[in-house]
Amino acid sequence: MIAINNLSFHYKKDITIFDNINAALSPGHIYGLLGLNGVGKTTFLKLICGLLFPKTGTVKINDFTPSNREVTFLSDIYFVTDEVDLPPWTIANFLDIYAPLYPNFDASYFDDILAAFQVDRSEKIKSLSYGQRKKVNITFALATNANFLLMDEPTNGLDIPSKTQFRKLMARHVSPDKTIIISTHQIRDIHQLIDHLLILQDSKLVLDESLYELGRKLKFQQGTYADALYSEIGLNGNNNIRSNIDGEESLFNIELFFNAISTHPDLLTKLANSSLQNHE
Amino acid sequence: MNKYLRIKRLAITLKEFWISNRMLVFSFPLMILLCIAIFYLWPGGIFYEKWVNPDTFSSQDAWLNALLTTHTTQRVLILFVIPIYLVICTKPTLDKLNKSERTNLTPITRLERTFGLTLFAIGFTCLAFACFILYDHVIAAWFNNLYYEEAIRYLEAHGNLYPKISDRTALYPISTNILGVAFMMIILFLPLYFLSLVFFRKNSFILFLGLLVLIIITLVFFLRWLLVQETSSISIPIKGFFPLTLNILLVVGYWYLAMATFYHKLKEKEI
Repeated sequence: MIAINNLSFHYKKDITIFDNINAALSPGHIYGLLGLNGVGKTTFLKLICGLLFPKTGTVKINDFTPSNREVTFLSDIYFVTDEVDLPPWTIANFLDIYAPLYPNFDASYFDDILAAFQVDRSEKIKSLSYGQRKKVNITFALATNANFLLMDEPTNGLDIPSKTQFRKLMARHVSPDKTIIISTHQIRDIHQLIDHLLILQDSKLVLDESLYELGRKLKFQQGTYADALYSEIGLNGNNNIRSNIDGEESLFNIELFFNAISTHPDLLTKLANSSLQNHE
Repeated sequence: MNKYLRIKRLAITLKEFWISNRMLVFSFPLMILLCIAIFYLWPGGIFYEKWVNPDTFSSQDAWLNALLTTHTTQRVLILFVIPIYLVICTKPTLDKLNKSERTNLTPITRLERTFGLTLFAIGFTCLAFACFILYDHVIAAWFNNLYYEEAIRYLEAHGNLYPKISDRTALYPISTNILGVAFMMIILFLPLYFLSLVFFRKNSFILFLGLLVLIIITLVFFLRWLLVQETSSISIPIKGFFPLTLNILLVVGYWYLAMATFYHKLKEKEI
């Protein structure tokens, strides 16, 4: 369980990045962390893994304080950064050195994933392309079997088949004891994976809700609707977000939803109100 | 937690250094050999003149005279290739400790990092010294084989009844005392170098150098002030166990303080 309480953070005193954020992220989910450029998605992940320290408030992961960077904690968390920072050795050497540091590391799983990504184990990391290095890093991250997996733009640089492969691997990887947070702009790459949305906006975590709950409140339809909460012109007519009063099921369009929240922040208030009305 | 030390993880930090630097380590004996060759064959040196330009010496006696009067202990300076190698080997790791997200999230404690770095640096220094000493002895033995008998005969022919050749000539390896001083200088340099790369968050090396210069200037001014204030002095000429112990304690104290500062500077930084 990741417990974030009253978290505030800034790099410079006059520029607030996070202001009093609260969240409780439970295992067994893949969280999609969304936000506009510069809103602090990477900073949020860094605060969770302990690379940055909260100015006020706390972050706790299973009773560990990440900023203490205790070895037991570090061996149960892996952060896949956007920039791949791996040593220039061969993949085999990289594995020999660092795999023993993770008690649940599965070497055969590593080989399987690497084969699926079509990367040769005997290659030197420095001779690989950015996308291939990213694949090695993702492979290592998954093979650690760490219970907390943080991924910052994991599909950046991956070719199209690898993105498909990535989705398959992640879907297989999630388990009741694992917490996975994926921060991305390329929501189409992973929208089938995510089951919980975290949206950062204006120094706040403005949304922390499961797609299931959101799907109960909203529905996505094409056409022209006067009661649409948000509409966007698409190739096949208008794409609409409407209140799901009748409990109709529709495919949750994360991209449309995110655009709606980014351009109409009041939508969240409407959503909260409709939620209250539903409860009443 | 971060003060824990596990042999397995310490071995991993050493392996990290080894894999990253093994080519450099393997190249070291060749580099020393190259430096020795350059030292002896530098144009203008007696061996250059003897082997490349033999006409310089009008006779064998002139050559032997040059051999016996030319001191070659400056070759100890070759040992200062070691700190250069150490900087090249360890700087990427020290930089990563300041900047790399992956390094700072690798499950290795900072005590293990400190020990790993120290062991690698000291181990490399010892091996490098051993390599230099080996070369030095082999070359001195070779020169002995080539010129010792002739040199003795030359000295006897010049009326020296008890011929003795200076141990500063090329016929003798560098003395243990000189090697010891060079070793101490390198060992004393190490913690300062480690500190210089982590002491400040940005431009640490330059800022730390500035700090050192400031400390030295302050110290010099203070000592000068003390000398001006001094009206009498007492000197106690003692030798033996106590001064030696004091020296050892000073060195150990300096090492401990510098490394402890380094260890605390490694304290979980924000990346």
